[in-house]
Amino acid sequence: MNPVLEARQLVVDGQASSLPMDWQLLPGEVWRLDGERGSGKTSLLKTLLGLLTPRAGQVRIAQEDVVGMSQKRLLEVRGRVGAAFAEDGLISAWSVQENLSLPLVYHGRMNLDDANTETGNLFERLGLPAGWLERPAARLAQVQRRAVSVARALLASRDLLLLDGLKADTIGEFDAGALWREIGRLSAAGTAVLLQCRSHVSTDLSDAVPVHRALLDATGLHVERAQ
Amino acid sequence: MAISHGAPTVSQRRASPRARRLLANKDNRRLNIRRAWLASTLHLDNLGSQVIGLFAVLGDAAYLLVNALAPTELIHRGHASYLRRTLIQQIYFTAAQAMPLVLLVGAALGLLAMLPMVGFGVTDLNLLTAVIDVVLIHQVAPVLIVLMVIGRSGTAITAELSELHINQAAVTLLAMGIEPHRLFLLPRLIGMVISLLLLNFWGGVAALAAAGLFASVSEGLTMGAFLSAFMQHLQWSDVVLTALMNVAYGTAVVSLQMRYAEMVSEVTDIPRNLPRAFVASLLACLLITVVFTLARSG
Repeated sequence: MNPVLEARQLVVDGQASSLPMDWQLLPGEVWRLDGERGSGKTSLLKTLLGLLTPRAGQVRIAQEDVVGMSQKRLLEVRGRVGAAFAEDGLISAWSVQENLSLPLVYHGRMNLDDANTETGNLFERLGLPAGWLERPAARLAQVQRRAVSVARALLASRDLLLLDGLKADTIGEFDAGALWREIGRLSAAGTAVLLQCRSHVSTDLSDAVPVHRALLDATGLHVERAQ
Repeated sequence: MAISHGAPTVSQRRASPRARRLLANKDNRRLNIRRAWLASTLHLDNLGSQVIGLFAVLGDAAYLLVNALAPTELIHRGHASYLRRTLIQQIYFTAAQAMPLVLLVGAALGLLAMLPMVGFGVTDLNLLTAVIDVVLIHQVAPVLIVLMVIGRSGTAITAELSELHINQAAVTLLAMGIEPHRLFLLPRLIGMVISLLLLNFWGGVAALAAAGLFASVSEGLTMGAFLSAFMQHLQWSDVVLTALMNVAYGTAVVSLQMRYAEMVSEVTDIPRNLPRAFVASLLACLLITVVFTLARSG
């Protein structure tokens, strides 16, 4: 099976460790990235998506080196990624529905009506209030915006789902276990999942699907595959 | 040379009180010269930094522009729907909503141009219409209209895009294969250019109508005679140059406003960067006006 995402002898700027790291994410695998505050987890995630240039080494997405990729190809590859970072990343002036349907419509996967139906269905599965959909994102509380941001990443993801800085209060906005069920469904469909959160946040997920762990600290990246 | 700031030197201690005062004055003069020199070098450093900063901003703005315009093959059907929607919003907000204001300003400019000329006894229809054509329609009105547009729409662009930058919307979209410059900058750029062309047309018509009306009331000229005299001065080359000037205005305003939005890293930067973006856009537009005026005059 070809890896969705691969780091070869990667050295990332802004990390405590400057040791090269190797890492492979295979289709359908669920990974949890752990590490102390300031260890460079977000920098690593951004480097893996080609948003930051590595100091050394290679990042390969879909078997292609990110550094040598043309801008057009990079956007095409990223078009199959769903991502949510620590900040919500929503367009405040747009409604929640418009924010959610953006990646689906923009990449031409479906028309606006179908995308709206899809977002409505996802909201129902996650147990988020349907009343949010018509509201401008600016009218939501910060934790609600984070939950919407996670929902958008779930909708957008095909090959890879990346959730950075996932916190318990964000997960609390969803129905109990709904987020993990959705992640399990994506994993079963072959989407690689990379979560950056504390272990207690993803305990329920570990019960549902095998979660591999990658620990980033001053001595480098330590990869532990779940049995 | 070292300058003493504290205890008197040996020569100062041996000297008489008057000589000491003179020496102290001499030292003070040296100190003042030294301070002035330091201040001038600081000003020079500051000026140099500002010039470098200006070129950096212009370079970054040009980069954003190229990024938004260059890979046009990536505008597929899904993207086109967002492009269309934002474009219509931009034209509605910048042109349609500002139309009454621009008509009013255009009419006021027409009257303000005619009043002093007639007051000074200029009654030559050719001269009156030539001044209206060259100064008002192709120089003053476009500058005032772009000034309004920077104030209304330019600052709105900076405020909106700053917020996107602060909450990492731009990075998140990029991570999902959505190029934020093409999503946000391109429709605003096209919308701004179309809006400026429309507003200049409406402003010019209002200025011309007001000037013609004033001429007919004060000088007893018919509106038809005024318009036909004006049309004799109007040259297509001038119209094309004014249109191109508005394209340059729109491009400069949107790319500079977006650039200043990208310089924002936290909410408190927004009120600081809005006036900076306004001033930079205004200066760029004045420079563009000068260049086009020089081109017009050969």
